[in-house]
Order: sequence, then C-alpha cells, then structure tokens
Amino acid sequence: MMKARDVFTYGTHSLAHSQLRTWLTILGIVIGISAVIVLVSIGQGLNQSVQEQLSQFGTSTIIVVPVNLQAGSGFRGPNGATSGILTTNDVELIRKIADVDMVSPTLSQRAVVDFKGKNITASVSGIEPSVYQQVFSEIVVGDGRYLSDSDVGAVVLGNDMAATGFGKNEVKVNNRVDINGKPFRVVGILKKTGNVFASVDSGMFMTYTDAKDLFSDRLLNKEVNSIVVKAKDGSNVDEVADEIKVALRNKRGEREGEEDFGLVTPSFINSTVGSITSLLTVFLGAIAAISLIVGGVGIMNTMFMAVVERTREIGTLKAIGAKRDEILAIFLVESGIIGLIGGVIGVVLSIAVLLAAEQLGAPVYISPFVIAGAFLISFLIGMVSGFVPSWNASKVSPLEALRYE
Amino acid sequence: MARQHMHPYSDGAEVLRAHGLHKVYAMGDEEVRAVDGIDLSVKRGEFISILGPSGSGKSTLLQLLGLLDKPSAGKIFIDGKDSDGMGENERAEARRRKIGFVFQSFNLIGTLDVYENVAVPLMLEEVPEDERREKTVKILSRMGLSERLAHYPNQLSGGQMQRVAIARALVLNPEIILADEPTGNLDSASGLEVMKILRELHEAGKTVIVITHDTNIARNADKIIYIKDGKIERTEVLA
Ligand SMILES: Nc1ncnc2c1ncn2[C@@H]1O[C@H](COP(=O)(O)OP(=O)(O)O)[C@@H](O)[C@H]1O
Ligand SMILES: [Mg+2]
Repeated sequence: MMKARDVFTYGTHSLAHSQLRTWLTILGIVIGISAVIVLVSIGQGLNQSVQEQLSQFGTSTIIVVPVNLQAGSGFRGPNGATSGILTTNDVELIRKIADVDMVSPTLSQRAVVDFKGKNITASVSGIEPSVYQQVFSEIVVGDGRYLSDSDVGAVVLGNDMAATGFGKNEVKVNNRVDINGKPFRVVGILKKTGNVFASVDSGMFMTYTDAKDLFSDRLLNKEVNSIVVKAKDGSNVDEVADEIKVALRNKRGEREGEEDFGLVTPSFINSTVGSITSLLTVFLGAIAAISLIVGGVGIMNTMFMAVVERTREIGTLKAIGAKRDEILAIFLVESGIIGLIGGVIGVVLSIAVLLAAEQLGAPVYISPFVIAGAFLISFLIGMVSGFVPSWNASKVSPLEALRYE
Repeated sequence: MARQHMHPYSDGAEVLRAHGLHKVYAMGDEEVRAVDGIDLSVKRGEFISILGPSGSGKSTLLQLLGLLDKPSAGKIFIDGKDSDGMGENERAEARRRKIGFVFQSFNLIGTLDVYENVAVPLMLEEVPEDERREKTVKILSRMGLSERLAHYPNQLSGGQMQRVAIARALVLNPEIILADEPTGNLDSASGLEVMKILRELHEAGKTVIVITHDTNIARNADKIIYIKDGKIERTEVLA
C-alpha cells in the first residue's frame, strides 16, 4: 500500500490541474458547510444567551401562575378549565409552608399611560418592592430610587420604556405620568437588563397596593395575577414547589395533573427553554445539512465524471503496477480533499459571516467543536460521496492504458 | 557481432514462457482468435522483435506476456512461476517489479511533471524519499532529460515523452522491458534514438521484447518472431 502522504500528494496534483467543474463542486460544499456552521452557531448563541438570561431568574425563585403549564391543548380539568384564579388566600397558604422564605402577590395588567399628551398601552406590574428586588437580581436602579413598600402614587420605569416608550419624549425622574387617568410620579428608572424574557426593560412597576386600587374594577375580590415565592436558602426548590402544588391542589380539591394553576421553577425553565433552543439548533442544523448533502451529491457527480475521463490514467497506473486498493485510496482521498477544501473555505467564510452578525447584535457562539467537526465532516462527505466512483475507478482494467492506440 | 549471445548477464535462464496461449475476443456473434496457440520461450537478456501485419495479434500477445490480461487458454510462466496461481495483487506487483511497459502513445500522467511521472512506481513501491530522488534523477539523466525534470508532458516533444516513459519503466529496475510499437508515434530521428536506448538496455542485460512493423527496427534484435493470424509464422535468429 502506498504511503498516505503520497496518496495525498497525488490527489492534490490532480486537483491543481482540475477544471472549473471541480471548483463549482467545491463551491457546493462551501455553501453547505457555511450554512451548517452559521446556523448551528446562531442556534448555539441563542441557546447561550437564553441560558444567561434565565440564570438571572434566581435559583430559589418559584412563580405561581393561574394556568396549568403542563396541560396539552386537548386537556381539560374537572371544571373544564386549565386556568383558574389565584387569590391572596393562596398567598397566605403558601406563606405557611416551612421552607418558604418570602412570598409576594403580583398584579400585572395592561393600562393606558399618558405622558405629555402621548397615550400608549403598557404593561404595569404591582409588586411588593422589598420582596421583588430580593427575588429578581436584574432589578437595578439606574436613575432616581427604587420603590419602597410604603410608596403611594409612585412608579419605576424600565429602561426602554423611559427612553423610547413615549416616542421623542424621554421620561425623566420626577416626571408625571397618568395611568388609567390617575397621576403617578416617576421616582426611578431601572438599568437596562437586555433580558427579553422578563420584559423588565419595557415594564412599569408600582406598589401592590397602588395597583390593587388602580385595577380594582378589573379584578375579583382578593384576585392576584401571580405569586412570587422565594424558597429558603439551602432548601430544595423543586421540593418546595411540590409542597406548594400539593397545598394549592388540596385546597381546590383537584387531582394530580388536573391543576388549574402552574408553577414556574428554575428547573422547569431550564428544561422547557433548553429543549426548545436545542430543538431549534437541531432544526437549523438539519436544514443546513440538506445543503451539505446536495454538496455531497455534487462531489459524487464530479468524481463519476473524473473517473470516466481518467480511465486511461487509471489503466496506466494499473499497467505499471498499482493495485486496486491503491487506486481506490487515490480517488477516495482526492474526493475527500475536494470536500476538505470546501470545508476550509466554508469555515473561513462562516467565521467571517458570524463575526459580522455578532457586530450587528446577533447572538453567536462559535464552538471549536463545531469548527473541528466541520473539517472532519467535509472530508468524510467527500470520501463517502466519492466511494462508489472510486470503487469504479479501482475496477478499471490495466488494458485501458492501451485502448485506442 | 557477437554481442547477442555473449554478454555477461545472459545465463540462459528462462524469464518468460508462453505455453499453448490463446486469446479469443467475442465480437457479437463472431469470435476473434487474436492469439491462436502460441508457444514461446524468452531467455534472460534476450532481445526479441515481434513483427507482423496490423491485426495479427502482436499487442494481444504482449498484453498477455505483460500480465495486463488473462489468456482464454494456455499458460504464462514468469520467472518459472505460473501466472494462473497469482492473485490480482500479485499480478500488479509482478507488473511493477518485474516488467517495464512502454506504450506507443507514452501514457504519461498529464497532471504530474517529468520527475513525478518517473517516481510513480517508486511511490507505489514505498521507496523512501531520498532513494526515490536519487533513482529518479539518475535514470532521467541517463535518458538525457536532466534539464526537463519540472516540465509537464505537454511541454515535451514525442521523443522526450517516450524517453520519460522508458525512464518510468526502468526506475524499479525490472528484468523485462515490453514495448508495443514504441516508435510508432515518433519521427524517424526520435525513433532511432529510442531504439538505441532499447539496444543499450539489452547490452546492460535486460530482456527486451519490442513490437514493430518496421523491419529495420526489428533488425536491432537478436531474434525476430513473425506473427500472422495469431500464430507464430516463423522465428528468425539474427547472427
Ligand atoms: N478488446 C478487444 N475486443 C475485441 N477484439 C479485439 C480486442 N483487442 C484486439 N482485438 C482484435 O484482435 C485482433 C488482434 O489485435 P491486436 O493484438 O491489437 O493486433 P496488432 O497489435 O497485431 O495490430 C484484431 O483483429 C483486433 O481487432
Ligand atoms: Mg498493436
């Protein structure tokens, strides 16, 4: 058997003399590899930025919402509903659980907000300020001050809401805004979080008491929109969540799996969002892989043609003593090199594209594993695509050297 | 001219033998008996010309002797070994090590330069780099091609191409040189030069078999075998 290096040298010599066709074939692989790397990197970048943002959701935080999060679209509880109502009675019930450190009702409603004559509809949250800030670490004041539990008629605005929420007019500390017709004073503006899940940046916050008064006509007596719970340090958050679930279920007389409420826990978020973003990465990768397969078919086609055109060369090699294995190796490697060249160009191209995308703010994560994988896969695609043509080449008779003489 | 039978390497051992050799091609319903019962014994160091009209079966015979093809019937012995017992790889190795084939149309590899073309058999034989360079350079300088190492085949004249092909056939120092009309595509000056090289190889002890239809060229050999209709018509030993 020939030395591997000689097989490579032979292949590179052939390719150095190759036609436009070979370069077009390489282009096919470049496109395929670039597509895979770019899409997978964006998928992974997305995944990473999601994970980062989710990590701001405290590791001991549980949010109770009035909707069953596990219920599929077809599922209906005993009352025919997968959503119900949370009340301050539920808050008190949760407060009695041993491992619960803090619990706080939250109201969140859409309201009409007027600032200097411009009306917008915005999401307004009523919170217990002291609890809320301890639970959500991303709540950091940029300008002015944070809410205090005893504030009346005060609001704190998310960064985007203050800066661009009302068009040209930027809201400043001590400005007045009218919410559903009632006047409020802006006491503080939060720092930008960049977190797209919590919608803090585009939100407005006031005390729970103020919100209860403001939205009293829209809410049932004692109704709350969600309940924020912080488990005690050192306790197992999932166990605490289970205790809450059981307590609320017993109170409502519901069976397991038929709850009309749901719990958002760190592990729930990780598994749900994690599986969505991984699925997205796989999906993007699969789409890109199709273009790579098309590229592989291109290599196969090119190699079939090359073998036919080079029948005489193959016959000559056989006549001067090359074995079948050696011819097979020469063509397989040549085909692998076509893939590899496409892979190298594709990697360079996609890194350029990804760096540009990063400049434009796209979440990008270039993993060395993906890059190394791209080189390997491009070479393998070449070899696999070239297998049948190379097999044909290895079968060429040495007599082909003399045909047409 | 005593050289034919007196040179030092000729020990009279048989390097090639054909026994009852037949090659039949099926052409539609018809059979072409390209080689039709040939017995032949080639001694080490012999220089044989095969002469005969076009279509008489000369090339077919040489392909069989060179292990490029298998006979329909009959046997070929190379260095006393029956080629029937050789597998595909063993035949390839015999072509590489024992036989140097020279083609009418040179069959150089267009993507390789002169040096690389000649080095192909050394590459197949896994000869180390240093030795490869030494052998390639040496054989090419013997062919008068030292100035042409980096040239590609399409930059050479026909005579130069054939000398590269001969260098390639010789580089692993095979015992037997088989040449199928090596001068067929050359002008007469280049043809003479190629014949001079083949004669020198013979003088250096190689066994040389040359197909030709040119009687003058055939007369360089020790022995002329006349072929007609796939059979040996007669053998002429030149004094
Ligand atoms: N591959 C083949 N298939 C069918 N017929 C062939 C083939 N090769 C040679 N022949 C026939 O065999 C005969 C001998 O051919 P060849 O050995 O090439 O003769 P020469 O070299 O003496 O001109 C010719 O009639 C030729 O047409
Ligand atoms: Mg012929």
